[in-house]
Amino acid sequence: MNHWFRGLVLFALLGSAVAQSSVNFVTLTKGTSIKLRMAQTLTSKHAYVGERVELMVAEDVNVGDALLVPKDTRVLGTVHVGKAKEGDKNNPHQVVIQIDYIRLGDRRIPLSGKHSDKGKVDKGKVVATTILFGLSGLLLAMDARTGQINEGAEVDAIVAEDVALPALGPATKVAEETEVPPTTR
Amino acid sequence: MRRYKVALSLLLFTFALVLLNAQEKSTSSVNEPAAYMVVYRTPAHVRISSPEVFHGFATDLWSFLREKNIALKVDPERGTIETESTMSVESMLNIARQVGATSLLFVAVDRPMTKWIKVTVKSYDLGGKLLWSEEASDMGSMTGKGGYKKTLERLQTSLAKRLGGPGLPVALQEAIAPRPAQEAKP
Repeated sequence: MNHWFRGLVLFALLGSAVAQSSVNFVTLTKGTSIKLRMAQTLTSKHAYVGERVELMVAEDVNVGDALLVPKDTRVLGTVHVGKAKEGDKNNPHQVVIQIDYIRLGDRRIPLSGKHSDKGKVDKGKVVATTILFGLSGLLLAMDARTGQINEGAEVDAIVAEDVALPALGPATKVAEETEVPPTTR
Repeated sequence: MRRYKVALSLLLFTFALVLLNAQEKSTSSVNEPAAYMVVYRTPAHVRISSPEVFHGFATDLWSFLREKNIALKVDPERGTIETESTMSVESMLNIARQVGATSLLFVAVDRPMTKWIKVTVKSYDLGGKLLWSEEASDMGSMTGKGGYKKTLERLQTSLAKRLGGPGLPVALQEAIAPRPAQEAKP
């Protein structure tokens, strides 16, 4: 009788413990490379230092057999180099963003990495304005450079510290590159 | 026999707790209808007007919708997005999904040459389908301040007929959330 009672209590406690700890946690280690892509277009004409930047995870992040971070998960960054403040009319010709973290549910996964773009000089425009306006035309064309990071641009970042994450499901397979047979001549 | 009953009760109680926990998890993932607001400042507005006018209009629109008890989803990262950078509807919808909203309210604040201010509000469902669009502007006022006021009133009038409909759901809870701090830093 007493054994039955103890057995039942033990069974109940075990059952609840199993139910509570059914989530499998996997560590996403520091230094893991994460592929991201821009979720907005940033230009040096508008971006100001401290402005938040939206990115997203470009590919599922798998560790072993577990999917930890799904594709399209939101990532936030900050403008590191840009206009000094919102509303400034100057164009610094360069935009640099710093990657801050992945926002997964209520969790933040710290990342590190930077991405930048220095405005390119339009050679044709430089030549044309220099011919038309001389030195002032050259200066004008050089000043028209605008740093721009387009929406969809690929950005690389790395995990900044070890983070234990619940497995969201089985690892997804990355499409393998199809081998092209060598052509025979 | 009495011990059996106690043990059985304990067992049932434990399983009931586990079931309740599971149910709580599943219900918390179901989203109450709420809109996610993104406010965009056009290049023309950047050139001619000021950031204060832009943010002021976003604040006034937010306040109007909250006064009418419209469910607006607060982004824990940024409050509402108020930006000069272009972002595709797909990207905005992706953020809306992840903050738990059920629709997107996209507001574009423009400053055409012939008008003091022009505001376009577009509502999308999470599938990217345009639910409706409203527009308001003013060119007859003597001052920019007057144009702003008239545009806001016109927009409020046109949005009034949409309140409680698709894209502008009424909040189930009566409490009016204060407008979140914009661009909260990490």
